[in-house]
Amino acid sequence: MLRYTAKRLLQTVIVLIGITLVTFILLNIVPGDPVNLMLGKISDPETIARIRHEMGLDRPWHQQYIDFLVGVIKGDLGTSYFLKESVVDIINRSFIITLKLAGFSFVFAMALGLVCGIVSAVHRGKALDSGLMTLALLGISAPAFWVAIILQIVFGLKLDLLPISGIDSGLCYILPAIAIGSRYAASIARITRTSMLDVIRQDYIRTARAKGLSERLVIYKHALKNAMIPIVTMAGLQLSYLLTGSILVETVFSIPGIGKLIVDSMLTRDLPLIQGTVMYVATLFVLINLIVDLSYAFLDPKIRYEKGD
Amino acid sequence: MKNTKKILALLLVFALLFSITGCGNSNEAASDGDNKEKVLVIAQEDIKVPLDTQLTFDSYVAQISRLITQPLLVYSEDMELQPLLLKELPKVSEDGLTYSFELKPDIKFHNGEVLKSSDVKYTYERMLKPSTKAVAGFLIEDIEGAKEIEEGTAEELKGFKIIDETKFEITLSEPFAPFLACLSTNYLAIYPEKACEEAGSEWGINQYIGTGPFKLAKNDKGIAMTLAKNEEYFEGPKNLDKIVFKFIADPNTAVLEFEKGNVDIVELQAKMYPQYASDEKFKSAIQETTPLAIAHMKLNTNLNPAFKDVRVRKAYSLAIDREKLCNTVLEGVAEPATNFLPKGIAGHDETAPVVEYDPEEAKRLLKEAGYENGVDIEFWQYEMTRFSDVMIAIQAQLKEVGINLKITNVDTAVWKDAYTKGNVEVMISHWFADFPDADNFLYTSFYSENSHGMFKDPEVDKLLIEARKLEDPAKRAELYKKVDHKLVREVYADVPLYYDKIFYLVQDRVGNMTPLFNDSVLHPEDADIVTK
Repeated sequence: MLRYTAKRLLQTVIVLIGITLVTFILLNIVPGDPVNLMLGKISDPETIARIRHEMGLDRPWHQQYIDFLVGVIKGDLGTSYFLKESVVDIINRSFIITLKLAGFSFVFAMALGLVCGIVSAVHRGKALDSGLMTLALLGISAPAFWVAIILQIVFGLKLDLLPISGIDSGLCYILPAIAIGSRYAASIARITRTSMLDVIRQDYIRTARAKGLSERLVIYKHALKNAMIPIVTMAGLQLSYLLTGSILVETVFSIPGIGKLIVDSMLTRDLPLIQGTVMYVATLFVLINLIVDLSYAFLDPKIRYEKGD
Repeated sequence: MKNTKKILALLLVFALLFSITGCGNSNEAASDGDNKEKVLVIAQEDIKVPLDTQLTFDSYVAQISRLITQPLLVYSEDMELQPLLLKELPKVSEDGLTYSFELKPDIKFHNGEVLKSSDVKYTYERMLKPSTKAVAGFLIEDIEGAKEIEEGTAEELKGFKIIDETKFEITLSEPFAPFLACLSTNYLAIYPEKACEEAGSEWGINQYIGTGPFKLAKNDKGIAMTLAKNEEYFEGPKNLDKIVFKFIADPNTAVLEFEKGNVDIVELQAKMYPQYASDEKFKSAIQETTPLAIAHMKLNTNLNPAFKDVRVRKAYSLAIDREKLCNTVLEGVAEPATNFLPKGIAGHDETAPVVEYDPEEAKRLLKEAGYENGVDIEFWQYEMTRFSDVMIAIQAQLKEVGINLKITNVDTAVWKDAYTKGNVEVMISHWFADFPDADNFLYTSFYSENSHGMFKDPEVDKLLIEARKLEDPAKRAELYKKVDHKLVREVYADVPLYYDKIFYLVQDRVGNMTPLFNDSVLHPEDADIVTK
């Protein structure tokens, strides 16, 4: 297991170097000059050239890339062209906000999704099953920003129960978490139902019932644990997506999270910030995938990571 | 063991909830009735850049920054230039080259330092130094020695002579009539030398000091910015204790916050105007202003072969029904343009009618130019939702006379690159005045060196340079009127569309909100919170 983890972590470093290199090359190929954007409505070639020189953007791209890598080793991702702050500080600030939002959304999605999926599987073919799966279909189909607006109007304005926007208190996270989490809850519900139905038909479940175990024990102890592998895989992926933010929901609720930061940095060609956010997203995906892979061994004792895996 | 696990799980959940709920900021945004603080909450977009106005043209930055830092002069509501940090308007030498200034005595920055001539010199030099990466150096480029600083060959501004702590002289390399107007822009707000240097990269982020009526109290990046009353303000403290700028990117959310009473002032998008104007509850909350601005299209006379022919450009202009545009797509909240220069700018021709609409003549001109089967023009649209509906309507109107406008969506960075290189065939823009002078409209857009290769006319260049040097306002206005007429009705390099309005929703409890000004930013400095 240790050897496997070390190997995966080494792969992560290679992946990150590859991703940052590709990003760097792409950003140097695609049109769009951050200095030109920085200057706004009035920009003349002389001023653009002067500022490009001042920022070191007139140096060969490979030299800039090497400087970037040296910075990364030192823990310095540079300074944002527009915000004029350390990229590490900016990402940390947004990450904390996104982490809270993702945490709330994930807990909401998992709790609702698992309960609905299990209930649906247990009551397979009955009205409750159809009703819950129809709701799940609606949850997957409804765009998050639309759900967000409806929630704002109903719970924020009309009923005046929750804040409409901002992150002034924990209550502010409830509506955006529901807006983001409802789609994920629907996916979890569907996969939980499918996975549970597969497991419920297995011989060992029949044996458990024959032994006279209570239905609750059969479902929660024997069936659910064995049905968890596909659920955990999906939940891991969903958590990765949640931690990369949701630009639309963040915009609607005025949440300065990582999603908005990524899009803003791309639109302004803020190279250090783009590189920083790309590294952040890549690292998250790789690490969460690794955690998911390692969790399989805990969920199913038959799975072991051996040499050569 | 099982119970221990359950207890641990519960503790974890509580810890998570506690950390989430405990980390928020207290809502300073609401007007506080308990401690009787007068707090005005304004919703606006996040500024995304430091407050340092030397670094950006962003009007949202200007809206906040102008309450903290101030320029030497300022325009009054009736468009009169007035001294602000100066004792009186500067005296100008007969040759129009040397300006003599005297600062009001004992004006203090927020840190208690007294404003001195050296601070003014420092501010202007900082604007010109390449290391600042400032955007508006062109405003003071005519000061003697400015170019040398910009080019990095000099450190000191030769044309700036300090006489004593409050008196100084500025000498220009050539006469420049709108010089004082330039100095009135917020881009040239005066910074305290010592504090600015000490703050370094923190300037405009966590440190920002000026002479203004409000001080930067708190910068919750991406969330809100709080300004507190400057009790030592040289014109006396203002009514409000605090002004909170709450950053809300989505205009619909901002309006919902207004409806809920969490926000005192919010900009109302033109599209939302009819809905709120017909709502009894909110009708009286609407305030409007007509900024010194023009929505117009510039035609590239050097790229598309068709546009090299003035007849095609004229047909393009004649094909657009501005009245219809304003009454339908723009819901009646804009006024059809008569000139490029808007009302309120000297040089605006009051007698000119709405720019002509004549589709039959447009068809005839296209035929005469050899385009009876139609002409293809490409329009690059970047993320400017304000214009997307307008462009679709214009596309349909142009189609009727045989001009096929292909709309291609690109991102702003791509568009800006192409535009700077003169590679766009048509551009649409909303030009807001930086200072109320025709030079800021015409020289900035149509002087050959500034037009990014889209337009070049030696006669226009000559007139624009002549107008810059003229001291007589009436003669200058005449020259600008002539240039405007030539651009819009002779060479058809510009297609003015409309002058639009800006709407705000203002809560009933906000009193003494000055009639909204015409420089496209709010002026809440004299506002008050009143009980009605």
